[in-house]
Amino acid sequence: MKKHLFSTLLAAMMVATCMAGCGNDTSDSQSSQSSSTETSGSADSSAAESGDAEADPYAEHLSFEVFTIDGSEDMMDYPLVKEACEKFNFDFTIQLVAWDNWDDVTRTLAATDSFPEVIAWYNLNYSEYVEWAQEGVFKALPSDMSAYPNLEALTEKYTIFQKLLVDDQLYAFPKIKNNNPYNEYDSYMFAYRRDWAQAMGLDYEPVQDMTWDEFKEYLQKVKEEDPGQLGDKLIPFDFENGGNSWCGFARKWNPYISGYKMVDGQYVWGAPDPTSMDAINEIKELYDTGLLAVDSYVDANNAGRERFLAGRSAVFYGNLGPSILQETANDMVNNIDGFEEEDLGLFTVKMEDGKYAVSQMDEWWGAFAFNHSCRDEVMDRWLAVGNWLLENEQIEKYAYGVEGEDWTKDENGNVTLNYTAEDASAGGSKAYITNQRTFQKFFILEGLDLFLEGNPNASDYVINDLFKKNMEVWESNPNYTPSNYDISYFSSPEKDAFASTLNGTSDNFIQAVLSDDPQATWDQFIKENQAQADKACAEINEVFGE
Amino acid sequence: MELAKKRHKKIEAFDVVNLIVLTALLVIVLVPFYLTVVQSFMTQQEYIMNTNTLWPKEPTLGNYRDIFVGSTMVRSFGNSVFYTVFGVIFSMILTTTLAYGLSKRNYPGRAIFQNMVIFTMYFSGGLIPFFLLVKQLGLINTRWSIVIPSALSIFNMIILRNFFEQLPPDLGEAATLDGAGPLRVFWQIDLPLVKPAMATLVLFYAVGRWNEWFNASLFLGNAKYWPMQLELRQILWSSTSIVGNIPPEVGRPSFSEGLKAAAVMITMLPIMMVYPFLQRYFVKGVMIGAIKS
Repeated sequence: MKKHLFSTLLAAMMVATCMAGCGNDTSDSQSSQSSSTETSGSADSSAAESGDAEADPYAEHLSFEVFTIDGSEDMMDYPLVKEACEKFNFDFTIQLVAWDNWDDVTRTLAATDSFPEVIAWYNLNYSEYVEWAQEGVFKALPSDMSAYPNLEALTEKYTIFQKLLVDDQLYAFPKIKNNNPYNEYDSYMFAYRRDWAQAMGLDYEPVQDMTWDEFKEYLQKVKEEDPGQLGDKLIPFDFENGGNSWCGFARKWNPYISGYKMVDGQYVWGAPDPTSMDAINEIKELYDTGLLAVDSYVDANNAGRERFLAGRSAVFYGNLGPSILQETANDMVNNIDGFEEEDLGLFTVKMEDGKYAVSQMDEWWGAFAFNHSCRDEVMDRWLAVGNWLLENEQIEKYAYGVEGEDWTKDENGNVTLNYTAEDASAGGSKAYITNQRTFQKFFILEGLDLFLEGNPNASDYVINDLFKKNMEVWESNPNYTPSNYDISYFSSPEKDAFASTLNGTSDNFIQAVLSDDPQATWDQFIKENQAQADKACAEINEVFGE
Repeated sequence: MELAKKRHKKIEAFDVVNLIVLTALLVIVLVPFYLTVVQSFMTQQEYIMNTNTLWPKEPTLGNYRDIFVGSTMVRSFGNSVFYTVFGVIFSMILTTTLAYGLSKRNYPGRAIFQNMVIFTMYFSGGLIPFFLLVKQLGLINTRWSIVIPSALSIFNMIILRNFFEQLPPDLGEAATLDGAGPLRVFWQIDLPLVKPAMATLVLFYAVGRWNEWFNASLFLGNAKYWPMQLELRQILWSSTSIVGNIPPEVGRPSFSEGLKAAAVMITMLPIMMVYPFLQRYFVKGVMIGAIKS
């Protein structure tokens, strides 16, 4: 009898513990948030204070937390952050998240209503964003953004803002990838070693135009003549992530290979299009003739990029936005004996139709948002800081450091830096110049500073003679594929179920390239998945079909 | 003569096969380990030109320097030591006391307690209730969120309970007759006899604590409490930030393979150093001859 009574009591205790653990903590979090606002004076003086507030909208000091993958403890000491905190009268603490556990932590915090007031959101998942916005996880941004003109200008310039509206309200502010001011093209380009071309007697331009066949002939010539005298270490052509980049490269033949294509007013699965096999055959030819590194089909972690930077590859295909292109040039100058910036060139390659196959660049990556319980004044303060950071003066500060101390500008607008690259790198005395960029990345991704007038960090050759010229050549005759946000962000049961197959296109592409019978291998992939694709397309066409 | 014969025992085919298989296993284990050591001392340039080399032509400590640049690695190392030392002590206290109690067959309600405990091994509340519980306990963003919630491993407790159950009850009874109380019997008689099992569990717990990162990533928003594993993951991420879905504008790449190798060495060495100190306890036989009944 005693045993039964005892066990019943224990069971009841366990249930009570579980119930306590599942309780709501909203009141606690709300009280802690409101307590973090430091107000001076009593309620009697509130009228006078409101008068002050009108004169100075930032009279009240605010403290809040920011959820992010970026940031460090000394962040508050960075001059730009310090200035922002003083100017806008706030301070914040970082709730740091490890990148590779971002999804787990974010979802857990969303499910338990544990987000801090400000969320610097990385890798925003669109369907989750919509779901959480509808469920009230976030606080809507003001519909009138005129108080923040620089942010408002972005909302008008980029189409993604329209796509992020949920019930006509914006719940997250996407961080724009502002790295190509010339057009909407993405920056996946061919970089080549001009010094090696010259060594083979080819007087190529910094941006050398050629057809796909001429490109292949060039690679063959590199292989035969080995201008770098590397022997079996030579790789004529390299991709960013080897085989894992092949499917992306195949978009030059079939832009819809891992997505959906509109045919006669109806969306169909893109992979079965015959142009997929054209891409497979072309890449297989490169691979079988030894123009690609033999083990590169398993590459990851930028192995191809590292090989190019180290001087093993003659031509490299990958993301070469201005900042990356500049870094590529810098790294190659540092890594390769005798290599100069002008030894780096770009190829513009016309495909079989005589056009340059280009896609629309992704406009954004990540966003910042606000927890539903975020105070209005915190949201206002954060938006004001974001707006301020987009001013040219602030862009110069995060690019060069403290004006007068770290850099000076003459009457012609030429900037002189008072530090070396080593000073600004990790562990250096001026490391804050590099580190404080993380603060800017809360709001917008890098790229803005590269186009500042007289920026000594950006070379005229890299930015204008290479990047800009490449974009001009592409613009002369593009075969342009725009992004289709409607389809990308459309969610339905069968389409969502088919997403894993689309993600697996790359693996099947690699298998087809390596196969003795690529047609059969690819056909098998298509055959196995066509039925599911048809179901997904049926759902898409129900909404978007004509 | 006989002794000499024994010493020069004839080598049989089995011994040869055994030797070959064990040597092959040794090579399989040691070669990747050795290559990782070598890789951690290589420059990016040399690694890319000669990925599998026996020793770098120009060894560098650059990868180790890149990991330790700034003060966060030293601090996170200290955090990991804290979580390991205090976590293991706390875990062992809970494990030994619970296992000892459940090993006593005359303990009232033993079966109920045991089933309740074992139930949690098979069925957990899931991540969200776990997070809510830790939050309600006020442990979020404290070091104790790493030490307390995962302090007891039921699996380890069962192992230890079985060891306690194998102890002859006569020992405790004899001590009781001599005037020892239950605590003294536990502490001075029974506990020393399960040292091999405890040494094993200490190692299990220590390795688990040392490698801990998931709970830390969930409960610790303040990076000053982060253990070394989480810090290393962050460093590695920032070194390979062009990988996957992360745009290059977010971070800048460095020699990720070298950093990874250096990180593996830094992570592995301290916990490897614990083994020699515990190895002697693994040798069984403490009980042999202790009792004649």
